[in-house]
Amino acid sequence: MNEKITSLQASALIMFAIVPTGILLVPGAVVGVAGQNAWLSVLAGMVISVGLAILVGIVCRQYQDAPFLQWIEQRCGRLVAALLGLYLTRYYMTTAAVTLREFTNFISEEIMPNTPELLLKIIIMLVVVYAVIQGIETIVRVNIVIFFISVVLMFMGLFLIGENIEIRNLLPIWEGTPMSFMHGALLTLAWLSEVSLLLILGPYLRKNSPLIRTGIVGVMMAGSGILITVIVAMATFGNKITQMLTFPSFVIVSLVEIGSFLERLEIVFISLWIMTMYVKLAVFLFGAAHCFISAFKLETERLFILLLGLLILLTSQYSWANTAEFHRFTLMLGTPDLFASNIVLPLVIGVVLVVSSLWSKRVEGSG
Amino acid sequence: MTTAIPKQLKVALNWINSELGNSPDTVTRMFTPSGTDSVSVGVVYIEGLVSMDTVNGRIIHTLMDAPDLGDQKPLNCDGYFRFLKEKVVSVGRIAELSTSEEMLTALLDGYTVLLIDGCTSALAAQTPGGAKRSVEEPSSQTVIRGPKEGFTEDLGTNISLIRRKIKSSKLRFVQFKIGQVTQTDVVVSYIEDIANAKIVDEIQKRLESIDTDSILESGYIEEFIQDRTFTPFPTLLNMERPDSIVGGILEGQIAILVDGTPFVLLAPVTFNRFFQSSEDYYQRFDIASFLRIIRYGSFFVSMLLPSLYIAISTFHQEMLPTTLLISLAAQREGTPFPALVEAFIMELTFEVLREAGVRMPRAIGSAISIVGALVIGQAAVQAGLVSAAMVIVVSFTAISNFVIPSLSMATASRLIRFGMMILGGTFGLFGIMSGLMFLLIHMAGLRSFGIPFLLPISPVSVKNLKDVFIRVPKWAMTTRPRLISDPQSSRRQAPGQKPAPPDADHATGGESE
Repeated sequence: MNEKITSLQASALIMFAIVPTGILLVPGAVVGVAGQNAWLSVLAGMVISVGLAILVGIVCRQYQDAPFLQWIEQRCGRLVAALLGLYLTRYYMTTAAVTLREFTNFISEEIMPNTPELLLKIIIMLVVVYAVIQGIETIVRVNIVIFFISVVLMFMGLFLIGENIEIRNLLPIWEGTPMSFMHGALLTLAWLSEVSLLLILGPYLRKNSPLIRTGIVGVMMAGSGILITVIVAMATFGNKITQMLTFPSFVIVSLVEIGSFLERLEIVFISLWIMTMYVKLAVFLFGAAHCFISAFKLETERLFILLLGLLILLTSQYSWANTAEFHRFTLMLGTPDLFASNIVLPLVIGVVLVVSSLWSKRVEGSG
Repeated sequence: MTTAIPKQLKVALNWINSELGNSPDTVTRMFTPSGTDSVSVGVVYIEGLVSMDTVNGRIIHTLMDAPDLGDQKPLNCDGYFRFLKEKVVSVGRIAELSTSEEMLTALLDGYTVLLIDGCTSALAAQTPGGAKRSVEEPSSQTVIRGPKEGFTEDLGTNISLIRRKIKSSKLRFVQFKIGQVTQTDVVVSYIEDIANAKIVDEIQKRLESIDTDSILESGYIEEFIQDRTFTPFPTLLNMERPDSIVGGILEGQIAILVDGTPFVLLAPVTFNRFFQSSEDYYQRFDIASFLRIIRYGSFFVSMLLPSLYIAISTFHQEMLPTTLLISLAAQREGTPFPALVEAFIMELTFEVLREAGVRMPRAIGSAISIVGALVIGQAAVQAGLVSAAMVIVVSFTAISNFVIPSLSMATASRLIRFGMMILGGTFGLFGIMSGLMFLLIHMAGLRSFGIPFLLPISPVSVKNLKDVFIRVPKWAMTTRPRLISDPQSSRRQAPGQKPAPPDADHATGGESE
């Protein structure tokens, strides 16, 4: 807990824990369910996620200087803290394994079709484990460098793709049912719910950092990234074609060209995306390691980071026999898991907090 | 354990001779000075370490010519010792020695030791001399505009070169002796109230903890005191130019001077510091900024160009314009090796040529250039061993490497290049990005005396960004770099010094009616 990060660094980290897979998978999925209302759905998802960020921020404020699980142990006992620690370790490991699988699937399909996926996974996890061993300060510093490069490249990309954008494709503004609109919003919320990472990052923030604002800024930046991708995809291809694309953002960047001599510049954007995926994986491995190590008060951190990394690698490689099974898993179990771990859990903690404070007031009053 | 100086002069001189192994360069002389007929004086020095003019003119001659004391003649040796110290020996720095070990140290430091028969103390007069290289233009960090003087191997000269540029009473020089056998003088230089006191303490602590037999160059010190050993990146800067070192000291950095080398260390340093040249501050800010961006670009070219060429030509051919792709394919058709092997052959050949160039006597240096250019370049292409494009890639990479002002950073990029080539040849651009990510993580975790290596890029320090990718005009750099200098003395110059033409009312030379 000696490491300290700033509010901006934490917000940027939350953003990159969401955006890399968010911009790859959310546009296709949201446009698929919400159709013409997709960008409105994303906007609604952002608004709801701000509420979640506030809730997580309030919970975080209760234990700003101590690790989350240590605080839980003080409030609810050792057993609850250990069980919660195990649950969160499982959650972060599963998310990391899913992310690793998505990462290697994409690399295999789009860039390196002949390279064995296991080799790609080994390379990725080696870098990720190295990052986590270096500590959260290093991860946030790397993230900030990538953040600035991303902003520059995003504006360059938008400028270069400008001629392909047709704003009329976004019209009409409302088309479809409220149900599909809400479905799209909830889908976005599921991705943005990763803001609950603040529960782990909170104690690492410098003293008197604005926790609620950190969460809101993080979720707004991530939401904006997804929103821009959805709007550009819809404005470029229209919602019908976007629905048919697995990775609309990838197809968008493949349109970028400078004159007629520099074409197929998607590799530049993919290269940056690869870096953001590394950050995302590092954040989740860090989360898993942090929860596991604090739940069991372990001292040999490096060994457990290495073991957890290995476990994530094996889970990602051997848990799903094929891509179809993997997609079924993310749809049937992944999204509910996101809701349970990122929304229900902070809500339960919030309710427990309110009830316990009311109870203590009542006891004081009667005393 | 110390030994007292023997009372008898002969015994003392014999002890010195035996301790120094009766070395032929040790000169011991015993005589009776004029003005006294009962006191014997011994003079000891090591030839080659002292200035013979000073020894002969200021010590031996004055002793021989000492005034007749008459009634004031001291009766005992202590009185004569004080008399010699205060009235006879006309040398600036004099020390009283009380042990035999001190005597030896003084002799080896270039002092002349005076012993008086019957005395248990000795006098050491500073008479440094011997052959020295004069102040010349630095060989490795040349500039077009700016001072042409460089540090030398003599510590005293180097200190004076700094002192002459900073005429401040706050300039500090703290001396250490490191190396049990070599007893090398190491000096830490900084400006009090500008350098961060915590970093000064840390550097001094690390220097004091060095326990070795020898320090022959500042590189020895660097390896002992750097924050992390297993890194290709240097975390201390070495410079041959006094103006660069003084520039660093004025920004709050700390210089470490080592006797016997013209390379002075500067700490703490951040990544961007390796791309700054002293010339940046002597020429206009716009051209300086342009050149700096060129340097950063060259660093990346030097590190990545061969690997990018390998990755693109092997895995991502779709990125290339069709005409270029066809041309490359035609060139590579005749070459028997894959791009990775081809690049390795060429890069290793160049490294061999470069190393040969350093060791080769100058007279046959030009022969090597011809062999390198014609045989390895043109003939290799004609023989079909490598493609012409690969020769261009390797040559441009090599030239880019020389653009980086700091040799140690240029070396780092050379080393990383080979790792990147393997990654590019096996995993394409994904491998290169993974390698870059690894490097970025590594650099983000590096520190130089506690200062993050990537400062001010990450952690971001907006104020420090004025002298990173671009150099803003001098008048806009009102503060010293944050974290590196003392937090209390961040202000460097007054704000609002932007020059402007005079007001219309005060203007002269305008049109007259």
